[in-house]
Amino acid sequence: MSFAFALPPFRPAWDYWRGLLQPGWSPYGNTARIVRRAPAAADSETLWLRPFRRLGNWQPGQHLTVGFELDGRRFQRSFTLTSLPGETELALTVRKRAGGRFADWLEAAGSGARLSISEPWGGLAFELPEAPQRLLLAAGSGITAAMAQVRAAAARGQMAGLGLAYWVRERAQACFLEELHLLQARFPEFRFRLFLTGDTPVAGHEADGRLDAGTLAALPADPRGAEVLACGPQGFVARVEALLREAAARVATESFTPPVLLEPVSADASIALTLARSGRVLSIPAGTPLLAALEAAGLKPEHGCRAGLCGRCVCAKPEGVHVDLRDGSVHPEASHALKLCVSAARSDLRLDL
Amino acid sequence: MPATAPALLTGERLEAFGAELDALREKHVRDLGAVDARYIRRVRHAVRWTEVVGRLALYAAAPWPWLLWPLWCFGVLALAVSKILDNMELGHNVIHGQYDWMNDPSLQGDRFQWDHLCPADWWRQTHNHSHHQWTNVRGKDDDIGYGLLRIFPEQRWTPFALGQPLYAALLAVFYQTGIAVQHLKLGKYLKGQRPWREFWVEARPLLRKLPWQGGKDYLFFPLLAGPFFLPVLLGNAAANLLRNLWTFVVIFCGHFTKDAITFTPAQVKEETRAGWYQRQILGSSNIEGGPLMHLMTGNLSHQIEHHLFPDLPARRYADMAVEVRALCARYGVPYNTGSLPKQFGEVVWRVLRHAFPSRPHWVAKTA
Repeated sequence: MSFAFALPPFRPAWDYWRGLLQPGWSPYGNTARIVRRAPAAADSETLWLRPFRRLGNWQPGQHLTVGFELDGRRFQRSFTLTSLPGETELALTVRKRAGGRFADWLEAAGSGARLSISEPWGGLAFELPEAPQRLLLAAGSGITAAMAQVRAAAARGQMAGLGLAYWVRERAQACFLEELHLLQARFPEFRFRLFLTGDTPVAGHEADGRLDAGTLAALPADPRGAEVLACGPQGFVARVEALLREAAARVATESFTPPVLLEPVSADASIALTLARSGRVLSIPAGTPLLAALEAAGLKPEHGCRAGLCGRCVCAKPEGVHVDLRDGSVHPEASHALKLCVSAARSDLRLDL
Repeated sequence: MPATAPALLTGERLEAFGAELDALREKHVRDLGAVDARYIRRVRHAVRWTEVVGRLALYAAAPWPWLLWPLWCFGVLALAVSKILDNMELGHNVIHGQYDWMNDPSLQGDRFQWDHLCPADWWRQTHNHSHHQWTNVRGKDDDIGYGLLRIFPEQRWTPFALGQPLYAALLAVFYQTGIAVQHLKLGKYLKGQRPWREFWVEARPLLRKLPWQGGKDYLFFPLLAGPFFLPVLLGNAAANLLRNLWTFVVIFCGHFTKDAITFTPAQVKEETRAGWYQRQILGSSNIEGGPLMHLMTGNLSHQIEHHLFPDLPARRYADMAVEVRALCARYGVPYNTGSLPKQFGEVVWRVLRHAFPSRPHWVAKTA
């Protein structure tokens, strides 16, 4: 029920009262309630969410962006859905980084708290879900993307030829171990190996060492001719590409680095600015105010005072790091209200223009 | 009126003054958080609940207005409070982008709509840009007399000005409409400088909002009362009138008091950020009062602080005022503040005095 029922002047009041009487309703997108939480590993937790409105069609392995409020500000974080599309509850397994914003929020939130949620987007998937050779490589929190594929394959009974290699530092950090063992017992053709980089392997399914030419032989399935999906930190994904691009039939990778950890570029570097509405990509100097840079590129964004006062040049920034030139403050988070005239880029940016 | 112009800060001293204000701004930007978020949401609760209470009281009183007129008056008052809070502490401040840092789409400056005839987009242009950037610069800031009143002796006198006490009174009564049409610069059409057919194109956003905005208070809600249409309609009109008068008083006190100064475009041509700060202080005046006064004026009682930091949450102005005032005293920059009767008395005097030919006693000079 998202049709615009209320006429314009009644709109603010309508939004207010409906939001009050029907918790979870929002004119600005979907929300979800946390119905269950359980620890998934030493530093990870699984959340089960019940969305207010049903999600549209989505595929296993897609991501969900959640919005939450901490200290008066709304933040967004993206996670891979580990539940399958038919289920009523959405499952997310999140790594709780010490001092991380979402971890802080979860600490205070308890069960029953609400998050705003996006529609599922992006994600990795096998081109041929029944292919005889499929290899999943996951490092750290990249396991969620791999787990979505494992569960989808198990639900369809297509576990033959599927292998999963999972890297963690210590055994206690590994998520889904119990479930993976159960799956192995149910589907003997499913091969799984846990690589420990900071612990000594004990059990038969465990191995040690980082991914390199030496550990290739220890992979649970032969990567030659296989379709390989890899998810993990940037360094890991880059190693997978370098090692397997030649041998494998197809390598698809995904890596996610939280925006707060992105390294801001210096003011004289040039960055890629993506304009979301037109799809144009511009290369602009990082030091110049975005409004001036856009104008230099021949665009005419709406603007007013050029001093950060009037708010007429405000636009949304879904991705990237920007700096407010008035006080030099760096803003790594997604924002609804970036002022073009007094902001400059500090990383590749995406703007809703 | 002072015999001489206040000595304006220049050069290094002006820049040092500006740097201290920048530091004050930064201190508050760093401190933004849950308290500010909770505050503005409470204001929104107050706007919504007072509106419902006011409208219900009007409905309850409508069948027997001669008997229940105190209830009717209460309804009018509650509805007026709702509209005043919506326009000032909520709408005006949110549209300035004061709460953009929250990233909450319902409190975002570029999409907020208020219970006011003026389309929020126009307001961002006439108010946020023209008025705030060009505060009290003659020919740039249209808020100086709204192209209708002669408030400063530097404005050219014509016999038209003789009638301005009447125009000012009418403007106060129809202040909402006045603000809504300000964007259109009606004078240009009346003087034949622009053809009327352009007017109908320019006015489209207003003409689109007008039937809904007017229809709400003067048709929809009265019709809900059925046979008691009239008492409800009159109640809504009275609430709108109270809102108009109050906002007129507050806003006129902000820039048109006795010691407020205007500038020429040439004076501000080479202006630095520090110079802009100084102009905001010299062109604005505060109203003294308690927390209730600050809330009901949308903190425009701290007009000076609002003009220095228009994009910071207004609830912080009271704290900032202490520091700004001390800073002004230290640098010898006049800080214009006074009680509401004093400040409004000066405004009334200006409107009456400059209806007649007058000459500036002094002209503010930079350097």
